[in-house]
Amino acid sequence: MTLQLDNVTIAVHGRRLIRDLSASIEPGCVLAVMGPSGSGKSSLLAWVAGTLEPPFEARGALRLDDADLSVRPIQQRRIGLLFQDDLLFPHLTVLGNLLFALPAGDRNERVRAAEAALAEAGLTGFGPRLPGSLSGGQRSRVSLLRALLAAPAALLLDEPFSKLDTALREQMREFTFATLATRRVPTLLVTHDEADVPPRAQVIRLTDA
Amino acid sequence: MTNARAGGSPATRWRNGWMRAAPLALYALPLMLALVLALAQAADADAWRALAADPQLPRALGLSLGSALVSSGLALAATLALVSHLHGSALWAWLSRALAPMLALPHAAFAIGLALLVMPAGVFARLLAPLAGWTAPPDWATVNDPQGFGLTAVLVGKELPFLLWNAVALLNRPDVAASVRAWLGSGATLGYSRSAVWWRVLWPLLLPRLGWPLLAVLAYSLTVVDLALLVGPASPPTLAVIAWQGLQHADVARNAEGAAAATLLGAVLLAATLVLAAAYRPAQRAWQRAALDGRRRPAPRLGAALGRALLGGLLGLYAAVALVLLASSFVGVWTFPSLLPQLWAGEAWLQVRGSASVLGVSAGLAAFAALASLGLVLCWFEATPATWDAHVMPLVLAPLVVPGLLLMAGLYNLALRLALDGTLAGLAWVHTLVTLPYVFVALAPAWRSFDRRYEWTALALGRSRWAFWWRVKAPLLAAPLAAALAVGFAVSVAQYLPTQFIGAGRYATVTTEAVTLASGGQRHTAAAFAVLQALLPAIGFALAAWVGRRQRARIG
Repeated sequence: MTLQLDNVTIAVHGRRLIRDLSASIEPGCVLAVMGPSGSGKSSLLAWVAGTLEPPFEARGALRLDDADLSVRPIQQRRIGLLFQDDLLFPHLTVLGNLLFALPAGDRNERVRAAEAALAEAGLTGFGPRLPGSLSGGQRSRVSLLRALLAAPAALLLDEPFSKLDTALREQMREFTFATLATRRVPTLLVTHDEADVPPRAQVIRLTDA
Repeated sequence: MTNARAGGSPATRWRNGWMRAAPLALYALPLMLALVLALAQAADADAWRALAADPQLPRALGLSLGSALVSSGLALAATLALVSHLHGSALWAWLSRALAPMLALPHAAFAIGLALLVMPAGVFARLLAPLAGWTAPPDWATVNDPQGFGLTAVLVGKELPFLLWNAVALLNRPDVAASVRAWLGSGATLGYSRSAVWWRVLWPLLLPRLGWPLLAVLAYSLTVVDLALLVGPASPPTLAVIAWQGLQHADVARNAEGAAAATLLGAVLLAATLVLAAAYRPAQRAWQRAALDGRRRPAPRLGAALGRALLGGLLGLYAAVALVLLASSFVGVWTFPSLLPQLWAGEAWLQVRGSASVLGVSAGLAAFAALASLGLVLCWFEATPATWDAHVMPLVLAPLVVPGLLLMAGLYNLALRLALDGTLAGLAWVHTLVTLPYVFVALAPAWRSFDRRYEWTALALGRSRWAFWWRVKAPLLAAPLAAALAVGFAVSVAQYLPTQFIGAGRYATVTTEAVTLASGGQRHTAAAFAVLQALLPAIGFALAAWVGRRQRARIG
């Protein structure tokens, strides 16, 4: 599926942060939005996710193939979200977090799907553990798996590597973008770090409004 | 250009609409109507003339105002001293931990216990008897004394933990804690002791943030009835008791006189608040001028000792009160000056067992009030942004700062019009009204600071708001939810005025029984009811603590 942004304008208190931005993200491709703090990149991401709230105002179209997403509530957009914190639910086990994301269905099949995803990410046997007992890298991987198990049509990444140490950051970048390319998920990445941007990504640079 | 969410979909707008309307209709509207009705009842020239002609009035008003101002002032001074000298020390954690059980002990139970300690045939007199050579109880006027010293002492004892709890909550807020740490550090590098930084810099800045709790303390002590009946002066009593007697009278003219007295108390509270607020700015300026004299003194040893002594005294007093209540409930024969009873007996508890319904009514009412107020508070929190809280805070805190008598007189009038007086439903509703502010204040910090990205993450995974609420938010906030329920439960158990007014004498609770029995001199049975009165909230707080420990053990 292709994620399409048409003539997006975002303003706050009458000040335009983004003016008439258009972009198209093909399956498995990455659009990186870069810019300094206050340039509107996180507001753009919030608008795409459906979490932008007043006093922000927005105009423009958001389409997934032909479907207009901008009128849908967040839970019906099928757009996954990953923040700089992994935001794993700390009271649920790793398996519980993954089952929360999987669509309803036969429990055994859902458990098998979650365990297969863990195995694919090198986390076999981690299902019964609580997030608090995992390392930073393991938590990040579980967080990505959780987002993907909900079968999102697109994914939004908000500075997803900024809280990892240097060695882990490189490892997570490779894991994340390889996984997203394999699953052909269009991805919108917001970052201020050039190193986060994968080689073939489109880049939009926002200036400080 | 349109607002990003502009209130959301029609379904969301409808849901938010009724979730906002429910607390306003069931809580705010009745409170406002009650105040209007109470003031209307008091708007009777004859009632004011009768009140003015009452020869007890000047003395009663003086007793009310004196005990309220002195007890609030002493409790505040002790709070400032304790925080200044103990903050950052090893005893600070002790103090923080000890506050919950102290707050859980209801006012009436504390007053009954303190009276058992200090009355002429009380434990203190028995301890002194061998030294003083007493063979009969001394001629002390420590309880029900005409000057109101006993009442003032009880008020200080109960207000101090409340003010301390508010101060600790303020200082534990991450933003305040970080600033306080930084200022204490800066003060130390400039050569000032910690307590000097507190008195010279921190208190002038932080004291206004304790304004609401201080106002609540002043309002409570000015208008309290049950404690005044238990340990206050009798002839004349405080103005609150005179108002209470008038409002309870069968004669309508006396009711109006009672309402006038309650209104007078409200006016006195308003005047005292305005005077104190107006005096604060000049006092703060003078305080800061004095604080900038540049003198560095070594940390005062006397101050640290005072802090330790105050903490020890407070903990010791509460332990002694708890022990004497428990012991007295088992006393059979205890002649003066014997330090221990000659005969232990379970008669008081047999009487308590005979009134099991009292326990059922207390626990049932408290459980309902806690759950209903939690429901209303959650409706509000879930349907409004956090920034709205500041706008509704005066309404939320109204039952704490409006004189209880005035509010209850109005609520009684409202209940009469709705045919809810003397009904369990009316009683449950009014208990909910007085419980809600505490549940709101207890839950707001945790609920409002919950990371909204969890919600967005869950919704982005395609799950419904309800699934997120039930599977993620409620379990993650189980500890503050349990704590808020325990606070609400404890507040309801301790209510005296609402039960007497709205219950119209048809429903007894452990609190009304304890106060009635103690006022009638039945000390041992009153002590047994006071133990129950303390035990019910203690069970609630213990359960909340268990939930909190379980939560911490699971997610750290």
